[in-house]
Amino acid sequence: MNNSSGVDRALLFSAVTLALVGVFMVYSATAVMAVNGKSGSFAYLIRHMISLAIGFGAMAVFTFIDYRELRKLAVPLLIASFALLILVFMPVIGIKANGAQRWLRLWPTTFQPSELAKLAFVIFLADYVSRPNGFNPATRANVAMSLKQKMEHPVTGFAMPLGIMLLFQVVLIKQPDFGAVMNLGIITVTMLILGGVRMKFFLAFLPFALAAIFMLVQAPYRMRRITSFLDPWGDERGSGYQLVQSLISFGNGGLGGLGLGKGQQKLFFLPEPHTDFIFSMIGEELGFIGAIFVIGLFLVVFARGMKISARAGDAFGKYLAFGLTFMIVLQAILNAAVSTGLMPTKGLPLPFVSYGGSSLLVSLSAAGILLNISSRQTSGVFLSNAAMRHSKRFIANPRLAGVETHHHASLQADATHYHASLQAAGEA
Amino acid sequence: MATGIKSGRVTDTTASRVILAVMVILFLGFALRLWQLQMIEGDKYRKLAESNRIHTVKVPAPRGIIYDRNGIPLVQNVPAFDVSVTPSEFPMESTPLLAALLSMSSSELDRKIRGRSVNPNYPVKVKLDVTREEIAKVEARKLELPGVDIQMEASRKYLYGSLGAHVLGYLGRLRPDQADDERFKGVPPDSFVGQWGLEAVFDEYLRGVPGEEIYEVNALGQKIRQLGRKPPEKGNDLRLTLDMYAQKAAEDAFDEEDKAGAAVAIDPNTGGILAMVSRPSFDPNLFATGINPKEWKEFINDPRKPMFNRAIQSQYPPGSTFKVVVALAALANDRFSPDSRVHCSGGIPFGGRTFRCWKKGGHGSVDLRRAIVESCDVYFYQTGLKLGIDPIAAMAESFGMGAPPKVGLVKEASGIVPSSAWKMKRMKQPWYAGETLSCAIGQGYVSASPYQMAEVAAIIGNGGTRWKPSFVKGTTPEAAGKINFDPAAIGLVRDAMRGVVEEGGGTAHRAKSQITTVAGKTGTAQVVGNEALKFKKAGAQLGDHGWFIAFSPVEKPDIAISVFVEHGGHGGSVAAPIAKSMIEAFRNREVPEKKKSEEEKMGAGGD
Repeated sequence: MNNSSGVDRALLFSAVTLALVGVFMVYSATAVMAVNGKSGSFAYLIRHMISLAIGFGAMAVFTFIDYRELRKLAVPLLIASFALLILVFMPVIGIKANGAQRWLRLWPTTFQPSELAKLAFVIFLADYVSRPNGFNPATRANVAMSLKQKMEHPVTGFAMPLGIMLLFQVVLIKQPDFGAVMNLGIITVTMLILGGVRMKFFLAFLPFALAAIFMLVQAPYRMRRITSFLDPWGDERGSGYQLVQSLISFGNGGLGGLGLGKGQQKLFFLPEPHTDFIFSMIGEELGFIGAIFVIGLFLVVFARGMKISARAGDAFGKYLAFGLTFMIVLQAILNAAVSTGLMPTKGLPLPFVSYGGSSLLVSLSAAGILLNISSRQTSGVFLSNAAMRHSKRFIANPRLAGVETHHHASLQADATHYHASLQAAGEA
Repeated sequence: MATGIKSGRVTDTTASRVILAVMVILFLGFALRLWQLQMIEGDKYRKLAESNRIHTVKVPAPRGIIYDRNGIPLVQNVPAFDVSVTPSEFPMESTPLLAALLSMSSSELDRKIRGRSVNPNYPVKVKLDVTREEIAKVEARKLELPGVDIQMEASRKYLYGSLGAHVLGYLGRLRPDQADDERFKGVPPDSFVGQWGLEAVFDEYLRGVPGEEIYEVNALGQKIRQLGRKPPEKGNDLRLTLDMYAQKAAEDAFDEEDKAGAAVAIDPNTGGILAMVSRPSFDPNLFATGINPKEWKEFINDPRKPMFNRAIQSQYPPGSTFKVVVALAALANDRFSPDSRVHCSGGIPFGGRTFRCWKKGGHGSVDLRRAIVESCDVYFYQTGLKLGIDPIAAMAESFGMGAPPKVGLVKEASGIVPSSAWKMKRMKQPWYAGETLSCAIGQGYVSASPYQMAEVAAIIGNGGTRWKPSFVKGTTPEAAGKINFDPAAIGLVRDAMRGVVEEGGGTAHRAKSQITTVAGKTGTAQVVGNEALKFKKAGAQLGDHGWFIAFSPVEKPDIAISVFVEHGGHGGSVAAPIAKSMIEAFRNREVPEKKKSEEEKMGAGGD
């Protein structure tokens, strides 16, 4: 891992491989669609390649920028992404399509600010939960407090970050982009719990959250998606259609798939085969083996991301690495769960793979940041394994270095605590 | 860095192991799900995938044609055109263009195409019943409108416009609330089905079975090859007992007089309905080509009630036409002799008031035959008094009065046959003899629908059989009742009815025909009380309703008629000529000369 360039090669390999699978699948999915429209069969592919080029460019840039510089950007980026989310509703530059208002017109292309918002939010949270000295809104002054005090305080630890999250979610619901709302919620809650926010706050908040979800679900189209998820065959020509066609794609693929480009479902039946349902197409053309391979790559991304987090040189890096990894993998999980009929339909692209510049740009940038964290995690290239283990602990908890007795006890305490947090995160 | 203890929680090796374990479990979960979908249930989905490649197009079945008794087609199958859009093939930029061509708003069109529940790969009907002009406009811009198709549905043209509208009814689109109806099983959505009249009653008989064309479709959903074809099965033709000539003669006569009312003609030998006219009427073609909600509202709120089938749904006092029933009730009674004479001086005093005869000077001395021919009221007052109400009621009921005749088109009026038991039940009062006087001349409580009075004429004409109503030619007649008249009695009444038309003093000499013999009876229903007031308010002209019942030829009748003209004055003046014109049209198999040119015009333009 810790080679000369320092970046995590397995992560890099996974991201590039996923992007490569994406190139083939997007071409396979859109060659026909493109013919159907006015453009040539390469039109989508060309746009996808341009997006990828920009995305990999961003990845390279972030790989070489010290991730700690991002701390300075945490708040400005958050504010900027919020402003962009609002701009979506403006005339001329906001684009309305398929009943949703999610895109900004950036002549000659478009941009989906909700993707950037997720990234900005992760950076902001990583900074927030690793920075002592909270900002007290009452006195409008920075208050000196320890990180522990800050995170356990109901306002600074819970209400403030959650309030900001809700603000974003309200705007996202307006668009509406329910997938992004859910994604943002899960990431925030998980990161706050890991950051040490008391569980009781979340438990107290739970009824309100459930009530809000209930109200949202009442929007008729969402309700239809949920009912059609429970019984897709009940209305297979109507609202259950997407899901039925997606399941057919998987079934049609069998073990080895029909072969690249030979899928039938994308041609006419499977809606959005190049974006939200690209995983179904993988299932059809590359079969069970291909689908498992893709999921396996995401598992690698996750494992490497966790390792990068564990080895990061500072708390910000640890939280940032965790948040970015979680952001990517969670979206992949949700996308795959929707495609395989384990969750109600919502529009979420598959990171690295789906057609869509904003999603690619954000997930590749996130990968770039992860690579940068991995490259800076230690100078212990020359250390032995045992020494490495020691140094890992040392870096993990610099304060405890050398205080072995205390170290063990606190480590154990942390582990138990973490178990609890993890379970809570799973529930959230 | 002063990151504190918390930072350890993200990085703790135990913690990352737990998270990793969770992820591995999720991974295995997905693997299991994929295994289930792709390996275990794979065959099921592969079969479904196969059916995806096949596109089935429904081919509407030609509906059975409705003919009159002479084999003249009354309807014609015509296509109705709908515009459909396959959303996945339709470029969004073309929305305003298509909307403009179909004169609808862009937002309405957009809603139909891009609704959340719309399956983008199946055609959505965006406008029904487009005009040929609109089709031409769409076809001309076809290149700019990929995914737009014109689809055909089988509709109807009613060749003679409003002719027999209340009988034939009309077709309409299958309504959403009918989709689950057992009667419409297998009918594709948006199809035309019979919604009213015989079209509705015989819908399943006429409907046929839609065919299917099965295509293999290519990547773009375009048909590349026909895999199979199941031709549609034409619906059964329906030959009616309806006689187009009699029907048209009556309708023309009503229209010429601009009167509301009804006429019914039945075959006295079978019960087959030869004509059923109700005025005012409507043109069923309006419905077949799609009536808009505004027109529909105006139509059903029309105070003249054009949809109301007066032939079977209205009921009025039958007036003097009822006298033949009273006469037959009397003749069935031993105490009564047709030869005993009554002196009519223009009225009789009874119960403190005078019951007048319609003829102010009186008829002088009359026997039963004369009393029928000249429609003497005083004679029937006396007869009624002698008989009492109940024998009259019994006779009327055996004629089918007081009960719905079960023609089967719409909910029918049953009419009223008053009796002492009826009055006790309805009003909790005993019967008064004075009421018998009114009823004996068909006024007062008595009421009947035009159809019921046509049955009266038919039963007298055929000598006593009441047939079940039927519209379908060739069905075996079924008796609904039989009255065993004394041959002398029925002979006398028939002869008297002939006198009504053919004798100098008869009230219906205007029904006398040069080509055939006619027997009949006139009647006048007085417009009184609330009803008169109501008509006054509606601004309609006020006047008595005219009745005429008849059968022809007298010796062996093959047509029995009743004509009812709202505010038509005395039955002999307006109703009788309508009946005569029906009889002659039926006999000659043609509509009276001056109407004929009109009919030809219609025929020429009717295609």
